[in-house]
Amino acid sequence: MNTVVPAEAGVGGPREARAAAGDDVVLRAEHLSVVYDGERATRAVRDVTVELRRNEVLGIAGESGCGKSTLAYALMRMLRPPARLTAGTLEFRDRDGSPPVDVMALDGPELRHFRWTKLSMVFQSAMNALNPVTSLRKQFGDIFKTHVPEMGADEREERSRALLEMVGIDPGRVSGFPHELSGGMRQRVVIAMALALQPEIVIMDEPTTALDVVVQREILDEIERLREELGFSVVFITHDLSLLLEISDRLAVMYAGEIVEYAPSDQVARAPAHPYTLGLLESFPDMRGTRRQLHGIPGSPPDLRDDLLGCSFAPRCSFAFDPCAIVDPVLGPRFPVLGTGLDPSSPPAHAVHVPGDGDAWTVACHLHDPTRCPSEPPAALRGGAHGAAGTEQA
Amino acid sequence: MRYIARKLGFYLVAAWAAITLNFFLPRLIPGNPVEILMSRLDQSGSPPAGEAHRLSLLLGLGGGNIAAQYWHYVDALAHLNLGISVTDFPVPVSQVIASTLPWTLVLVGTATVISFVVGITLGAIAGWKRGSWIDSVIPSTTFLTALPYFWLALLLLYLLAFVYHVFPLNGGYSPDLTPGWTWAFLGSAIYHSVLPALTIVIASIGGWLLGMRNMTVTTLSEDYVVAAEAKGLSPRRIMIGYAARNAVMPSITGFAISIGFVVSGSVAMEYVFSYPGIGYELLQAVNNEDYALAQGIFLVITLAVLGANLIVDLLYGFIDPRTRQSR
Repeated sequence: MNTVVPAEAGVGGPREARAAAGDDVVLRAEHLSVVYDGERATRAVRDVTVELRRNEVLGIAGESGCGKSTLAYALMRMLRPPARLTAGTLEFRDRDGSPPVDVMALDGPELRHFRWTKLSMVFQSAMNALNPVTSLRKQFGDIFKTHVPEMGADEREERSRALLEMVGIDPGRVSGFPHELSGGMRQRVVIAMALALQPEIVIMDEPTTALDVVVQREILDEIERLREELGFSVVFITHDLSLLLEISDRLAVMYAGEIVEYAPSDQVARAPAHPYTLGLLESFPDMRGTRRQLHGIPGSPPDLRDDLLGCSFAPRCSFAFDPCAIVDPVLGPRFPVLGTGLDPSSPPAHAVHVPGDGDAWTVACHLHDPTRCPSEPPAALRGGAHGAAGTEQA
Repeated sequence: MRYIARKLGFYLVAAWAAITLNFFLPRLIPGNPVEILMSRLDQSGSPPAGEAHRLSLLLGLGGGNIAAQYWHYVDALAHLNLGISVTDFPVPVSQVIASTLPWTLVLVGTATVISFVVGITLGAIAGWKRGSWIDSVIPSTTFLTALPYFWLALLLLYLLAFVYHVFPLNGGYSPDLTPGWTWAFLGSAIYHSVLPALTIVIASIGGWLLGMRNMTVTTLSEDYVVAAEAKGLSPRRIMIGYAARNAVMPSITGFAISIGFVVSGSVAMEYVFSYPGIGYELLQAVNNEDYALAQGIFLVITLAVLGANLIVDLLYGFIDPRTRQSR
């Protein structure tokens, strides 16, 4: 954990140094934990620390039930009982340079004001995210009336039409109702609504999962275009790792409520450091690469109601060794810190990464911890080997 | 516009079917109103010869085949001529209905609307604040709904009119007053209507409350409500515009049905309170085999149900845009 966020660093610590270096973090969540209360509480998010930088796309990947959506709701402070935030801080920095906002301390009207003006969300099922009985005009109007009460009716109408036009929908549809729109159009409308107040951050929770691949592509291109045009950060949550590798700047891989690997997306595909990431990458075909054998990950995720001893992935991990069953690994630098152990074909730029900067590549695995595993990690987890092993057979 | 025209067409056909049924049904029942009237006249002295024939002409029971009778009936209906009441001989049926219908409409109508509005509002609040005190009151209202209706009426009457003379025992207004648009009369009418209205509200509010409460709870977990919350909208706006607005749909349908039965649905209440409404009149008509009156009242009830349904159908198209689609 030390490289991503130094906990309570003193004056002159690495955190200040990074801020001084112009590291522009817009949202920083530290040590978030969420439980679902029940006879035996389900610990769905376990001590997660993430940071989102300005204008970046942070991808959060993981299989169903790994806590991705719960994390998203926690970031929005939208958890409803039985879900409960048990620990963590959430800090938001506005682009205007005003002092950081402690989001966890916001309450009632302040929190409602924070939502949508600073941080908006595109929901998993866009089909149902629009009120079926009121017109789009009214639903846009509700946003403006709530957050920009001084705006007149004419201006609201104008803005609503402009927003629809921005996402490629006929402005005349403003009088229409959700059921008159196709799934893709509804998703566009939902995105237009998310951008209505030009927020700093848009959390997208599986925004394209319900759509077919062609529409999915259109929507993703649209998001990319809008991001260039308006400049906002995105937390993009999906189980579709191939999609994330393509659109995100950095990638957080979640497993059993924890982030197990936190890496620059353009490089992680070539050199996954965590066995779970490797497993995910081997379970879907590479669109552009050569044909290779696909592998699933044997076993299933642990019951999050249990107290997990050691590494939560260990029972499914083919590289597991003694400490994995006993000691819970924490996020730390990947083994070849300066790229020394990387595949020679990887770009030299990778070798100059300095630990502690924004591109830090961290992994929660004992194989990368020299104090527990004196020898080098297996070749597959040092980069290069993963792709090579598959291609030879193809 | 096409939506409304199509609905109107459908209701016209339904009304015609109702009118026709109304013509045939009494003719299938054994018994003859002329005989009843004759026996009544016999008691007050012997009627002149040929009276029976004249009576049957007067009552519109003239000869001819069934088609001619049907034509005669429709023609009379078009002139609002529903025949002569036997019970209140020789007052025309249309006049009997005109004098009793307003009592029922105002009393039962108002009570039904109050019950619906209060029930829906409290139900929405109970669903919104699930687990609060208002939510825990719901089972007791369901208990009230489960009580036999006439028994509840008798209980209230016994307690509030007989034991503690808070409200009058029966009637629609004080017998000392003559009906008219005077303050004294209106005050008396309202005073007499409180207890019957209370009975209706108490007996029916539980259903609205429970239905609305459960629909609200269901709606609250819909994505659009969660999304509205994420948008930072005020709880009030979410509750009314997003949760209640969608949750109220099934209740509106229920309301349509109960509004239709306002005209007929409270025979028991009017009987217990001897209220001068149309339900009480219907009971009289049936007891006296007063076919013309019963037929007229049935017709009014049928048309009221149809009319109420039409209104709610149109209203539904307004509140739920999905039903407006013309295929």
